[in-house]
Amino acid sequence: MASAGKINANPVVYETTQNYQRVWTDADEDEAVRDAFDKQEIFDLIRHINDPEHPLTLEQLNVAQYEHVDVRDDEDYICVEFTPTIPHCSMATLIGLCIRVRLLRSLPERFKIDIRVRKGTHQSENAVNKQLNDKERVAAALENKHLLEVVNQCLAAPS
Amino acid sequence: MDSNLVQAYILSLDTINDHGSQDQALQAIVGVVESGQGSLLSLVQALEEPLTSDRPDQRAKGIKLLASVVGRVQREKIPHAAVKFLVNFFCERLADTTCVPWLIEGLLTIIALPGFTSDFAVDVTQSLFGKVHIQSFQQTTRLQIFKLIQALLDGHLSAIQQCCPQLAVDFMQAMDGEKDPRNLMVCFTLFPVVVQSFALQGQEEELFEIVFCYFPITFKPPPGDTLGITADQLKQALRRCITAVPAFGPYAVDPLVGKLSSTSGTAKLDALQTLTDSLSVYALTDIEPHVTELVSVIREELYQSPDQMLAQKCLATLTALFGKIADPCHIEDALEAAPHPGLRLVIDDLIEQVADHKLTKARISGQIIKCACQSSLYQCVVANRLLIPVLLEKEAQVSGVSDQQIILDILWHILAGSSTQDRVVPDNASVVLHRLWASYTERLFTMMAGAIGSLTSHGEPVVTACRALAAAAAIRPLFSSNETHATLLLLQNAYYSAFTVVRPALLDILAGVVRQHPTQGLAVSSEFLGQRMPLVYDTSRIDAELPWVVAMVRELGLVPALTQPFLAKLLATLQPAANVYPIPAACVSYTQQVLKTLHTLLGSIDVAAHETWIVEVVVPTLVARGVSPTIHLMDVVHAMLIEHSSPGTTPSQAVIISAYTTAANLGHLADCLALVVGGLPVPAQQGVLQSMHGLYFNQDATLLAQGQVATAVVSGDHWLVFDPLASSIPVPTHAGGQTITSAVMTLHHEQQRTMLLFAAMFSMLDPAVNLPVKDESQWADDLVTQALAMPHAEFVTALALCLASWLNKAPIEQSQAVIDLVMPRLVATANAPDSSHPDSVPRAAVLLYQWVAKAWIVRNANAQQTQTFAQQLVAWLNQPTTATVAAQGFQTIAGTHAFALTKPARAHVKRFYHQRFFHLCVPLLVQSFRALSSSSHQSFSTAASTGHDAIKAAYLQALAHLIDSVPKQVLLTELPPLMPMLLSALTVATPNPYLRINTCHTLYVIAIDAPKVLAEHIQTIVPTLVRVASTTRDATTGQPCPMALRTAALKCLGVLPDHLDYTVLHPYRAQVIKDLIRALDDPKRLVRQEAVQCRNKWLIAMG
Repeated sequence: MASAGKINANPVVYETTQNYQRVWTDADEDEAVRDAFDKQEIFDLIRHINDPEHPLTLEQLNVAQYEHVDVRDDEDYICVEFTPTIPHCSMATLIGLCIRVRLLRSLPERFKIDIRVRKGTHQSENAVNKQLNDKERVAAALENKHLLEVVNQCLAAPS
Repeated sequence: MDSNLVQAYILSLDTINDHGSQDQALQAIVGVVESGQGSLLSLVQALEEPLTSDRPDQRAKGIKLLASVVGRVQREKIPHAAVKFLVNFFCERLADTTCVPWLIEGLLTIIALPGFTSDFAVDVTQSLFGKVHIQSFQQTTRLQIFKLIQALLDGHLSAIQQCCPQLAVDFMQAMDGEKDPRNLMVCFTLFPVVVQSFALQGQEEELFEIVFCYFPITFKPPPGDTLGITADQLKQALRRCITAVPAFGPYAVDPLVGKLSSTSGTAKLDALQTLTDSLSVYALTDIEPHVTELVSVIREELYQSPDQMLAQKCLATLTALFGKIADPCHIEDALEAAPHPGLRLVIDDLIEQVADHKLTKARISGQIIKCACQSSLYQCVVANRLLIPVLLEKEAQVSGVSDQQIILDILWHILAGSSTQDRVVPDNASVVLHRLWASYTERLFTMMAGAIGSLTSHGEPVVTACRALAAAAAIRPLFSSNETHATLLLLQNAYYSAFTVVRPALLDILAGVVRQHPTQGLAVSSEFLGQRMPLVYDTSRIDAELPWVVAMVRELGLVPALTQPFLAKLLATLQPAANVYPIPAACVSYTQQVLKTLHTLLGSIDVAAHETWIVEVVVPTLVARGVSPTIHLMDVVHAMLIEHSSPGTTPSQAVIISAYTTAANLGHLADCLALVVGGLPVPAQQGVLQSMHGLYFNQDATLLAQGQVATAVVSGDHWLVFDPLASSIPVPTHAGGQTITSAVMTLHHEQQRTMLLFAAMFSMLDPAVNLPVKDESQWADDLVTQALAMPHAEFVTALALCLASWLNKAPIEQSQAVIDLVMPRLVATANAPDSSHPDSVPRAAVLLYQWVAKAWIVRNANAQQTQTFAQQLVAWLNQPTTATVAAQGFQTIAGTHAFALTKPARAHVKRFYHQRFFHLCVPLLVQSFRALSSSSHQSFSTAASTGHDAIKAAYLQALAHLIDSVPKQVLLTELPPLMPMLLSALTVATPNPYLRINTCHTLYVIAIDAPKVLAEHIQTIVPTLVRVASTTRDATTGQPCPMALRTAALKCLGVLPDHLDYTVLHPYRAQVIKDLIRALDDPKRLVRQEAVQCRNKWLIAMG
């Protein structure tokens, strides 16, 4: 069976069409106007990340949600909370790592980025949060070629 | 027949590779038969020795000769009697296995002869199946045999049906075990014909098995396959076999349902499609036992599979299935009868899921019910009868927005499936539908109206509610006229008050309902627009919501019944006179939106039905809006006084005198005018020309009067004469002062700019329309004189458009004569010593020259003439005065204008003139550019260097224009010599970013289609692109890098890792990744998006 051995073999899939698409305005074309980083921009960066287990995106699984992104451009701070599909999901750390890597690669260095499991959605949320926000552990994880390959596969979809 | 000839051929066959001798010998025999010196009968007699030989190879050689001769001899040289003889001869020998390939070849030839009758077809068929063991031959022979059977059945089916009743069984044996895809394609084509035309003789199951054993097809063409047979072709052909006759029903459904549990996605898809096709063929009795299982399996598949394509196939199969099981049911029973167990299963599912709050699954069940509703009116009534009350009740109970949205979504699916828009509803069904909906109309409407009201402050949920309401409006007896009206109002208000992100979706929904109910749609939207669409100068009512109102006009105006009323409304918003100075930017921007929408709707109007209105209202209004501000003297004086008295402003003549005369809006007016005039018939065009010619050339203001502008266009206190072609306009005698004089000069310049409107109209005229002048050639020559006398660029361009359009459409001799007269004059003016004229005169001459050249190149120029024109333009590139305008000339000639000299403008247009011009110009440009570059290396003075840079930029600009106008295939052929020029264009010191943006686009195309060429210059390209992409001003060249350039550079940079070898990119990878961090913090979001993608591509690029 194709789904054998998966942590969550039958996840709920959510519709994504038309959800939170940016409406471009004339100001976006105006060179004189500076476009601040906003929730939509950060959500657009992470919504298309592939789930490590299923051929679905984090948005389709409701792991990444628009409402759970906090952006404060003037304070150079971004916080992304994600929701694992099940409370015992062992992929939570990997998903968090994928989100972190995508943001590390896509945002200027001035931002401090927090990645967290949404409160009350995972049985080991403290441990996962600690791992994801520890710079050294993240750097060490990315030294692992195999892990990096998996992360790159998850990030392969167009952002 | 000379037996020596036969002998010679037989001997030549012994030498396997000596095809020349074989062919020669064969041709000699064919010659004898065709000349009448010998017959086919005599040939057979001459073949006695090989044909009667004990050696099979000798016999085969004899038959090969005969078959080859029959194949080569002209058809008419073979008499009917010979056909009979040949058929008998070949049929008798079919038992001789060695000879079969050549016998089949011969029969394939004979079958096409006119003398081949149905009796012969029967003989051949019987002999073939009686004497030949088809499976034992090699692939090519089997293929020929199947083709022979196909030809026999195609031409003589009825005769073979009568005489060969057992053919289906014989054919089954023949194709049993066939594996070659080429043969299978023919077999699968034959099989349906065979089983539909011949008795199956109790062999239905065997026949079914013989084809079903191939299911599902997993064929993959081998690499480098030249046969061209695809898996899809085989699958479709096999599907036609499996669904060929109802008799296969008892054997087919069960295994097909079994295939749905296959782990292979393609097998599932194939099984679903085959089931869908078979449902219309097989008897209900064969399907009935499997209905519940089938519904259950497909339902599970839908619950589990995220694959969109699979889901669509599942739903299509269910639609066919529900339709099939409704076949014997009567619509009158639908209001009371119990649903079929298959449908009951899904209805119960949905009711249970809604009750248990499993709403995600319920949404999928809603899609399944939609299929049932679509499948037949009977199922539609049954499903709605049982489900609508449940959903109404549930909607009243749910509290959360997302739950409410899902209930509405399910309701939408069911109502959309119940639409009567594309259905024929018989009278008896109509009565039943009335009874069904009568009890729900009010509750449904109230519920959905309430939902829309409560969800307006939410994004996606309100779209779902509106979709459901729109679906209800598409069911004929459901909503009354009042409810439909109220629906339109609700949807319109929802559109206007919802979040902007969902407005496009809501507008689509509204437009869909308006298309179904255009009369009510017009009434509702007209009232709305009356309140929301202000006049263009009504600044108090121009707000940020206005673009959404205009978008609504654009979308709904495309509904045919609304186009003309909406156009009238748009024209009415174009207020003639400004009452506010200086003209606010919001008014200009709003006017631009109105004019763009006007253009869109004018493009979709039925010109023939509204010809009079176009001529009497549209054209005069458009012209009057452009022209009238240029005669309102006091308005402009007022505007200038206000502008000059504003603190912090410096007096200038560049006052915006109206919202219509900005460059962009005047262009839109011209586009609209060109569009409507281009669609008019010749007599109407003649009338329009008459009135516009009167206005522009004879100061006849009748047209302005039609366009509701005061007619007093004679000189007076408040008005100026409209005379754009005059060298100057006298200042009114009783007025005076610097401001008045300045205003008159401004207005005269503005009048000249409006010449574009005349040019737009004139460019679209049919060649049959006559100019209202005595001497057209003189008129054309006068245009040149006037353009050179008043060399403002816009005025000259407008006159050049008129001149070029006339030259392209006038009688060819007349055009040639004018060209011969005008061109030397233009060349002389452009090359004249600069002391005699200001710079604008040579530029005007070059501008006119390029348009005249274009008119002729597009129409009739030969290579020599085109070469002359191109050389002249290149020569002007070297003069600082004319370089820029000459570069523009390459765009003028190679590009396509918005309206002039095009097919819609009824111009004479030679095909591929762009390409020819491109091929001719490239060597000229490259050669001259090289010469220029080598001379610049020897130049030491700064001034000379600056001049060189400007000329170089003009060359590169010319190249950019040329590249822009040709298809990329044409560009790629000329690539290597162009590369150095393109690289220069990336770093050239010119303030105009167009050149560099264009170069980035070109490099992007080259990276995809000719990566090797690009790789040779990688050391220049990558650092330059990175530098341009990551800053708003290039530190090396000091030139600004606008966002369009930064985006283009990033796009180009991002495509490199996909198409160039990693070894080429590796030396630059680390630096590119590092440098692009700056682009990630670009002030513009669009640039940042591109930078993210680009940097990501470089990050994941690995060796």
